[in-house]
Amino acid sequence: MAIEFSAKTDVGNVRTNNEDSLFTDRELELYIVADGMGGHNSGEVASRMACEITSKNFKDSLTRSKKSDATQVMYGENNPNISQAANHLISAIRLANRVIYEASQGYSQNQGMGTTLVALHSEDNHYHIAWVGDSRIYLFRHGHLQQLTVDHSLVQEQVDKGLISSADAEQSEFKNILTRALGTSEDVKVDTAEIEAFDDDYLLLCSDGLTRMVPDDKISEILKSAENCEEITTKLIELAKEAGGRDNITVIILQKKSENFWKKFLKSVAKTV
Amino acid sequence: MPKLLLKFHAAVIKEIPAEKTPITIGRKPDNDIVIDNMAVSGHHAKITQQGATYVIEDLQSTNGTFVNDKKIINSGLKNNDNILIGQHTIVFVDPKAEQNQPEAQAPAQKQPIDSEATVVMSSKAKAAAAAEAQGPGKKEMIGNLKVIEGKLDQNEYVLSGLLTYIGKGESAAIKIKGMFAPDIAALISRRPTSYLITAVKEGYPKLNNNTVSGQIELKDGDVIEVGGIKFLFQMKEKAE
Amino acid sequence: MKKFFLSDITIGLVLTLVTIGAFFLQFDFFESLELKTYDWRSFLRQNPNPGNEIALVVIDDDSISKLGRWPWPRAMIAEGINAVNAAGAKVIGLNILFTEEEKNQGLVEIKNLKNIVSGIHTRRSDVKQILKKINGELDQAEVRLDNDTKLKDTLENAKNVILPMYFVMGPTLGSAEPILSSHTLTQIEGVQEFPLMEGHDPAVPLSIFSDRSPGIGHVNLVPDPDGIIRNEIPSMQYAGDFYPSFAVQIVRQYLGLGMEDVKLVIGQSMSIGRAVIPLDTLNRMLINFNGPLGTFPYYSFFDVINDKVDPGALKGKIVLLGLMATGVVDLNVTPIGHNIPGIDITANIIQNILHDNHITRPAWANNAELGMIAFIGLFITFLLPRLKAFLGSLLSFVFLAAIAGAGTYFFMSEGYWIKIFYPLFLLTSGYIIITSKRFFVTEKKKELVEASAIETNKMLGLSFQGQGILDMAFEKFRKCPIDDQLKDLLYNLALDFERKRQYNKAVSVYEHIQTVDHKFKGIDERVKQLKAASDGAVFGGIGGKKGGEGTVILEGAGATVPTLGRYEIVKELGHGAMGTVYLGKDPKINRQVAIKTLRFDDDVDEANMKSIKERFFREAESAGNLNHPNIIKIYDAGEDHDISYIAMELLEGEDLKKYTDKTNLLPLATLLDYMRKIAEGLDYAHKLGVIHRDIKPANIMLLKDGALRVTDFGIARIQASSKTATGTVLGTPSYMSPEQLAGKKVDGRSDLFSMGVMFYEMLLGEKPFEGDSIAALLFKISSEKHPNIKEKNPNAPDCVVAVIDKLLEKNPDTRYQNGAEVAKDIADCQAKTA
Repeated sequence: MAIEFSAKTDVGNVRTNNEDSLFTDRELELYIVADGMGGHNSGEVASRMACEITSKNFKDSLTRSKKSDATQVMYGENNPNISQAANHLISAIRLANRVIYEASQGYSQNQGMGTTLVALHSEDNHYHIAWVGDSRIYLFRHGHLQQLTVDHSLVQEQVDKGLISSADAEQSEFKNILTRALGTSEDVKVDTAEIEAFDDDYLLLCSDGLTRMVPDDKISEILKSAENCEEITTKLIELAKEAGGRDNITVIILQKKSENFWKKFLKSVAKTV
Repeated sequence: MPKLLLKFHAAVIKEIPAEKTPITIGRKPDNDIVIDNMAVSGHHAKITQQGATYVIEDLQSTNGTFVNDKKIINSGLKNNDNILIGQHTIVFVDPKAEQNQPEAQAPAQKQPIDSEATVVMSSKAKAAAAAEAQGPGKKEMIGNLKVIEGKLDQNEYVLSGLLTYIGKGESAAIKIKGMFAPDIAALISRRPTSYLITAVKEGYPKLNNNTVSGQIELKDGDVIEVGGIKFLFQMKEKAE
Repeated sequence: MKKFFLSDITIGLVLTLVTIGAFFLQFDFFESLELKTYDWRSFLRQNPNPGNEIALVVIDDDSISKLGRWPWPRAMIAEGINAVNAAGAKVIGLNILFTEEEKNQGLVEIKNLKNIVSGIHTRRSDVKQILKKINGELDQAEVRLDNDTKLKDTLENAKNVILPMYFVMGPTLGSAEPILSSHTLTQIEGVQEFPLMEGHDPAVPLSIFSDRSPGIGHVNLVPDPDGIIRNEIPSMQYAGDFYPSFAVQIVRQYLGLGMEDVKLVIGQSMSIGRAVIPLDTLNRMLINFNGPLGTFPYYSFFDVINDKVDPGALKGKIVLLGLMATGVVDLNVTPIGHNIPGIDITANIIQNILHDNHITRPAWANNAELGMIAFIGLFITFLLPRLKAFLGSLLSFVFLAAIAGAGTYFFMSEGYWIKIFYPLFLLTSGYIIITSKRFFVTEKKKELVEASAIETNKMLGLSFQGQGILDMAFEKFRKCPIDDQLKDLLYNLALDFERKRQYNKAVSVYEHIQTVDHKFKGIDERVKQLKAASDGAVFGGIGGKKGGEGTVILEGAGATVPTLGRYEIVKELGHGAMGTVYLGKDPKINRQVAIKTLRFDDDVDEANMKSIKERFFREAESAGNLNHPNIIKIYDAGEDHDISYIAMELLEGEDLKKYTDKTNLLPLATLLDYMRKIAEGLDYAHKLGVIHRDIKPANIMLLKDGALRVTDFGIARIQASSKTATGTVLGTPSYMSPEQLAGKKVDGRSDLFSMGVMFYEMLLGEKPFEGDSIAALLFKISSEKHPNIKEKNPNAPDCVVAVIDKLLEKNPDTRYQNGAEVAKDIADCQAKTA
């Protein structure tokens, strides 16, 4: 897929260190944002590990699957309803979870370290997304901003169960509490979804440092009026800091570009060789 | 010294002491354990000893090798493991073998949350509890739009995707016609427990005769109107 | 490799190259099949109305039966010629070759008789009369029997009879005698590039005949390798000259032209006046057959000489006279029929020339064919394999139809012969191979199988190793059976340890490999070396700068005992989050201490190192400020040889976790005692601005001598400079205070709540707040009161219950405000319950 992207992270106005991590690889078609937590610098460690392990394991799985006809192994149960690449992605995330969890167990200093993770992989004409935690992925299409992920947070659950309204959720004192993260338990359930891709789609992967400071309609405005991805990421971080910048801010913007027929043809030719 | 019990279904056919390794298993006569059955490959699997552990390895067989009902490529063997090859089972008996090879996936135990970790908790137990709350054997529900007024390509649309667009344009899964119809009029997004409708073209879609603004949750029996077509929203059991 | 050979691309390319090769080399197999398509198209190009210039007069079975067996006397032929000319024919092509004089026995006898008679001498006049009469009769008989002369005369009178000649095909071996020079072509242009059609040993008509004919032409018809006649040879090469064909001569005569009007451009064309015959490089012309026998009108010889034929039938026409009777006819195989007499073919040739009705290969034919082959080649190589079955078939069929259609169209409308077999062959064979390959070589769908425990541990080990967490990597690898792959992994891990100068650990890894393979990659040597080195003043776990070779020996140590600061390192105790923990000794006061060191990963840069060190020492500072019997003591902190360390109290004992079990509860007095001590310790810490944040049984140590220590202030922060991360909540949930859960800023009272939870738990053997879901748990902590202690244990003293209840107040303001208050109340309680 022809993708243009821009990725930025900023420590924000209040924190002294940046515990967010990000990963981008256009060739691998994989993009990740992770927001770490834990004492000392464990947050950095956790989010960095999540990005590194997920991307490396994913890449290895793909390389291996291209080579031989043999069966492939994955960590955790295979989901036959989603594509192979999506399964590899989830397997990699689960592995990262286990590694971070055990690392946190082994070192009391890192006890309790964990991280959120949102990942996007583009394949053929689809986006595969996977996420754990309250970092988000949005889709901007036809002038409308749609959150694709569902926060794994306590308040989101309450909203889903109809216990409180979304307005209340904003004010809740529990809005920082997550129900799922990587590294806090031996196993984790990774949520996934698959969406068809269309030209000129914008995809936004971000940590809550953005979404807690900048409301959705402001983000929508910026996406509507921007000329390129670079502009969007710069502006979003600016806005977040203007609104307080109380946490680390990480933003990846992807734009799906239209491919002309010949490129598509040549690409499919190259694939068979 | 461990031994191998060769069984066909429930009947024990033979007891084979695992004297020396490797022990090959297959249909061809040059194997140590010959199983003459069409479901078994010529050279199906092999048991080797690595250190103190006995390991079974599948030799790229056609039908695969299963240990305790899980398909494996290679796996360590514990006392009383059942190896399924074709329709034959080989039970690995070794009272001395380690029992606690840690499993990659620990079964979820229903415990009150009390891990050493901090904040973020395993929601396994939570998920189990949530599932129980739904009641056992409850099927997954999925949203449906049935056309009750007007004519489209289909009479009924299953809302299985995360996003379903209604409009005239290419990206719309539900295509409506009409010169003045917008490319995208409305978006129905799927959440874990509900469906929401959003008006992408402000004012165009209607829900129960009211114009849709913002995002509204859909309830069973709601009527959605988009450009002269009326849909009935229903939650149905997901067909397997 | 296998995949490469069988890949669709290879197949496509190979097929295309084969086709192109065959095209250039004109393999017989391909050419003959192409000719089949040619024949089929010829069939379609038939023209039932070829014009009316030509008529055939044939000596058919009827004529034979009525006029006698063949060979006929030549006078009969002469009679036929006369009859045809009498009907007004313009040109006659006599397709009977008379190479010798007629063998007429009767004539021979007559001649003999004449000789005998003329040899008779007599004086008697009446005998002379009789002899004269006999002579006269003999003369007449001679005349009557001299068919050749009759024929000769007929020819002379007719002046329009073209005669045939015949070559043996092939170049002349030996010398060639030129003959019939007046009937060779004179206007010749062009350069001979290819070997042309050539003949030798010609058979020609008797000179008495040929002298009286306006044109002699050869009647050779050369079939293609498959035996089918498709070509005419308008000019045959012999003895350096070019001899026109029978048909060419007839046409020339018909058009009233002379030999000087016939121009040959070698390998290109021949023109007879304005009629142009296209030639191929071998000087051949393709015959455009108009139809089977009967397309040109033919009449029986018998009918013609008996005036039974319509007068206008032959008037002004070209009449071909020849044999068609069974047994004497020359039958040929042509594209449109099997038994076609030679003269019918001649008729077609003549028609082609007169009406410019030719089949040719246009100049662009080669390029077009090559282009088609290339196009189809690209199609089957790159596009077809990627199309779905239906679309692929559809497109292939479309192309097939297009090529066949175009080939046929051009053939039928313009007479262009485009070779369509090659691209069609490529298309069909490519299609068949690729489709059947798809059918047979089922691409084994790659299964995804859940990783077994062994594979999982390998993956985890590798990931840990990748993150630089080598100890855990080793732990994971240990759980796998040692196969060849694992040996390599372990070896690499050992090397990693070496790079970090953790030589002891490297050795353990090597030794683990050695349990199955002593000599793997020469590790036994390596182990020996490392052991020797480590016996020196080196200990594992050296932090600090990366790089540098060799073992690090502490300078100035003098003794063989390694030291850090003023502490002697006795042995390694284990590892903590930040680095290794050693058992050390303070030599000055001979006290055993625990030494925590700081360890860096290889890829940590200077700036990061600095901030980590800062945090490290901050921990030391915060806890170091605390000097209380119930709090773990920090003695010292410093840096030595780039290693940062903290020396702290060495605790020998256990934590309180085991006393939370119902079956193992502490006696009340002991419990109260411990709780009071903890409260005092916390009070002290809080007064110094240090909040623990993670009070729980696991963090309370019970020493061998019965003393109690609160440990693991690792996550404590000095309140003043607190920069708590909102969104991260630290602590163990079951023990967290409501304000902690909410992520709000907490103070010492939060620790008191946690203490209350712990107190409850150690009193009753169960936790005050439990839930199956986190939502439930947190809800309970924040909003729901803890269970009534009295109900759980009626024997619990009231004062104890009161203390716990107040500790567990949700609102910090209604809770105990400091540890001192708690301690006092507990003390009172102890007195009451003593």
